[in-house]
Amino acid sequence: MVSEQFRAGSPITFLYLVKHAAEYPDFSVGDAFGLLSNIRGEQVLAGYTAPFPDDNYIAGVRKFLSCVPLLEHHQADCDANDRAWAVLEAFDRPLLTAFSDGGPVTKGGEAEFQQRVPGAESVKHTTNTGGRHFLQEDQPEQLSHSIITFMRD
Amino acid sequence: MKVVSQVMPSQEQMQEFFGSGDNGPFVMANLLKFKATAE
Repeated sequence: MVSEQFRAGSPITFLYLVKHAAEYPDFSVGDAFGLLSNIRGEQVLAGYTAPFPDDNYIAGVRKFLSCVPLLEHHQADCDANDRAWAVLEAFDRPLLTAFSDGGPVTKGGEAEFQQRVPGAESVKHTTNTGGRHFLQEDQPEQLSHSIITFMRD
Repeated sequence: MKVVSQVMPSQEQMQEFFGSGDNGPFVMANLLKFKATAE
């Protein structure tokens, strides 16, 4: 199914979502999450929609997805990412990575943080299992345990 | 030939697209590159 290709990280199916988010007048975060994530609870979806009560609040969400640098004209976003990395490479406070091992987009991304951020050097990192992109929904107790343990240490 | 605008996909088009059973490769055509020829 197309949705399975999306969840596996297919760039072109992602671009379809980018267009929808950027330009559909009645775009709803809750509707998009309900369609494309494993989140099914109406109250949970309403929680994701709540910060954006009307279109005056949603410009950032509409733009956010299009910042993923997939096309030639995204060079400015790549440059912005480079500037962000320059800040992170100077960050020496403790930094924990607690990624999902099943996130189709972010799986394995922790390695770069661990290698490039000075504050990540002496931290005991964790990798959460059995979840996907929305790790906080898929494995809330495991992720919470990772964060609480890090803060106590 | 049926022509459907997907330039600004609605929630209904999103549901139809992502709910499709198609499992083949996707091809994205940049029609703007043919603008000069079309004109």
